[in-house]
Amino acid sequence: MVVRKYDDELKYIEKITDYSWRIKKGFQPNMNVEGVFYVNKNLEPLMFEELRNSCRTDGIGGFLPGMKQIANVAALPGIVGKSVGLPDIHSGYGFAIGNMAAFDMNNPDSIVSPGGVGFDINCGVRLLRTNLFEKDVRPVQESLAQALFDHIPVGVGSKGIIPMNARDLEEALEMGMDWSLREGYVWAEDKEHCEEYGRMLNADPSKVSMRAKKRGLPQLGTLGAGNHYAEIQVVDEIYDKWAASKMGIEEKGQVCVMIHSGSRGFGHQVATDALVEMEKAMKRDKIETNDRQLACARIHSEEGQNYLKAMAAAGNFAWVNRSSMTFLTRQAFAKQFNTTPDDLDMHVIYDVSHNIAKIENHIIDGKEMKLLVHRKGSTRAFPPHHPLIPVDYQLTGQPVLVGGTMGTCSYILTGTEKGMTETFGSTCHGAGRALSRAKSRRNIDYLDILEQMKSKNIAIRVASPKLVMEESPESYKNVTDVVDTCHSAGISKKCVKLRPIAVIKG
Amino acid sequence: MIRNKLICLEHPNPELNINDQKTFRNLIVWLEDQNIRLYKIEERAELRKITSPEWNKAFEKYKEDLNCPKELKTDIDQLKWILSYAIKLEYSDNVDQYRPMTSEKLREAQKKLTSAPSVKSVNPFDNLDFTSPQFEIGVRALANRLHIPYHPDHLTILAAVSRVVKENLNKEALKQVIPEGQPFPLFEGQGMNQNDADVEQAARILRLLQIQSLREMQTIINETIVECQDLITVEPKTDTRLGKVGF
Repeated sequence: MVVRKYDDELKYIEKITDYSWRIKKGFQPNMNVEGVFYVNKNLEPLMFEELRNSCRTDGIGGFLPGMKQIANVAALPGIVGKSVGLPDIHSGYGFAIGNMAAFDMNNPDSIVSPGGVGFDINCGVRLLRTNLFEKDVRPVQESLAQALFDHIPVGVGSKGIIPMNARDLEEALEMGMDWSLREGYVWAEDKEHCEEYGRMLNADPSKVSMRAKKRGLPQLGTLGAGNHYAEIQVVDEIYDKWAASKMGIEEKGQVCVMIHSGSRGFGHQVATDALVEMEKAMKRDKIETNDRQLACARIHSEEGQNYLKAMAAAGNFAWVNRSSMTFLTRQAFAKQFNTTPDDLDMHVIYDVSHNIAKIENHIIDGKEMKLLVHRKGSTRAFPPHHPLIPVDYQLTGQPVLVGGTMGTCSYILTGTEKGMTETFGSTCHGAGRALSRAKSRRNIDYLDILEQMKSKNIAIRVASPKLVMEESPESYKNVTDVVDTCHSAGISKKCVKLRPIAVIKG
Repeated sequence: MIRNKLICLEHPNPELNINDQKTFRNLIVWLEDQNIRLYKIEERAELRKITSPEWNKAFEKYKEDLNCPKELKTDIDQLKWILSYAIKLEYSDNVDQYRPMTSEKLREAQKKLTSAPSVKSVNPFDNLDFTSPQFEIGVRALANRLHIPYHPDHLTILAAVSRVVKENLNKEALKQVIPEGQPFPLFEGQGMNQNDADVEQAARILRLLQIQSLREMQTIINETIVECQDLITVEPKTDTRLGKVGF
């Protein structure tokens, strides 16, 4: 890493608009393209503070600041356009979380990097609507939270209640949500409201290690720990009435259920296995990167292909996982209200993936190109008329589900044309960490947090209070700032704001 | 052999069981009615009473009148002779048509028949001349009544007529009450980036039609999935004993 004085570093950073900044070539060595990041004036100091801190320590120790990570990604072979940092960006393994980058599929040097996808492959958010209103749910808030907690096992080392054997898992890895459909866990309509229709077709379970499968098998249908949660939410604000009505959200107070989860230990193992394999491939193919964590392989190399196939299998695992939890949520609600999920109109509004790499066509400098788009902590946000979004959202643009942090609000955005041209149809994914997990544990008492939830009249069920501190709202950037930045910059549009009334967490 | 002869005579059911008395008698009546026509219609009365105990007497007389050889004793033999006689009559009626027929020509004719079966159409539309001025006038009149705007090609108009009839005038559609209230907000949301307001509106309408047909397709896909689910899906299982909450 180049070490300069803070003032010298700033020479490479240039304000483009009130909401976006450019990182010029030369900020890090070998940058093929420029970097860009989106922040508003509230998020801006956090971003620059990171850089200043790393200058103070001469880049030794601590995390690489987000800006440096964006620039390192810009130096990867085959990258096109620019390396994009979304407003919720924070340091991650190799790629910052909230960084997206696209690589030219027709350039033989282009790479795929597990660090650009993240360890929780196809981590994502699913939103179910109901025809219930806050007044229907408030009286049974606690028992409903308990029912959800009883149905959806949470926490580190939790095990699911959907019986599965090794063969079922192989099929699920290959079929994704089609497996859930075949087994009757989900509705036919659920599939059309999922990115990729809930199934990556290039998934190949034979490229997945036994170890990953062993880890994954008992975990299907579990929420996991960390920032994952299931929340019962109510509509707090509707910004775009027309788009909201297309999603079946008509009025304030309507109850929704948000499920934020991923591929659990399975995806983690797939990523770990790939990193080991890729280090060898890098030596062989003489691929140089600025950061050892940016392990990668050429897309068309055996290692690259193996990773993409295994990643797709992990993606399918995550969809089956969210589908299983959809089933369990519907069961819990049906039991509580003594009716059927159909009568509660519990349709999937949408299901987004915010840790994934996908092959997409984009227009770069007026030319259509086939790209491998890495989105890590970044949500796809396609505009109206895009052929890859469901027919129901052709007029409004793709719904983007942005989960907040425990106890804060969440948002539904929609994709825009501007996002398509500026950020490869990508936007933010959540709040984004402001404090490291360790720091949160040191500074925050979990009892305070539970008290805080209580004062907000939010029912909460957690498996491990210790981890609650890591996920406290104070540990994160303000999700409203993040979403407002995306809205003001025009890379996606605010549609609905949701606030939680019950939280289930690992 | 009887079967082949019956096929020649274009009997509607050449596979019939002539050992059945009733069928046998019916067949004799049919032959007289269709081919032989020895008697005048009113003279066939006795022969037509196939359930009458007197029928055999009428049949005896009929055979005599036909000059059926007396050496033929069994019903089957007599029937064979009558069939041949009927075929002879048919042949002599249309000698000119049948004489040039050789087996070679027949084979050729049959080949043609199998390669392109000349099914006689019962659909009156098949014989319509879609380009005739008369037809065009008819289509335009129909379009007027359905308030379909003018298009130079009347066949395009016909397609529009067909769509309107199919979607709005079918039994289900007629039963539905026309929804009242707000019209669809055509100008909400992102537009089609056209400068001309009329083109913009047309583009937005076309967009809705496209979305409608996509929706129909997606619905059919969903219905197919549900049908498959009904066929093969076992009840979704859960086993709470497997569940384990982490730490």
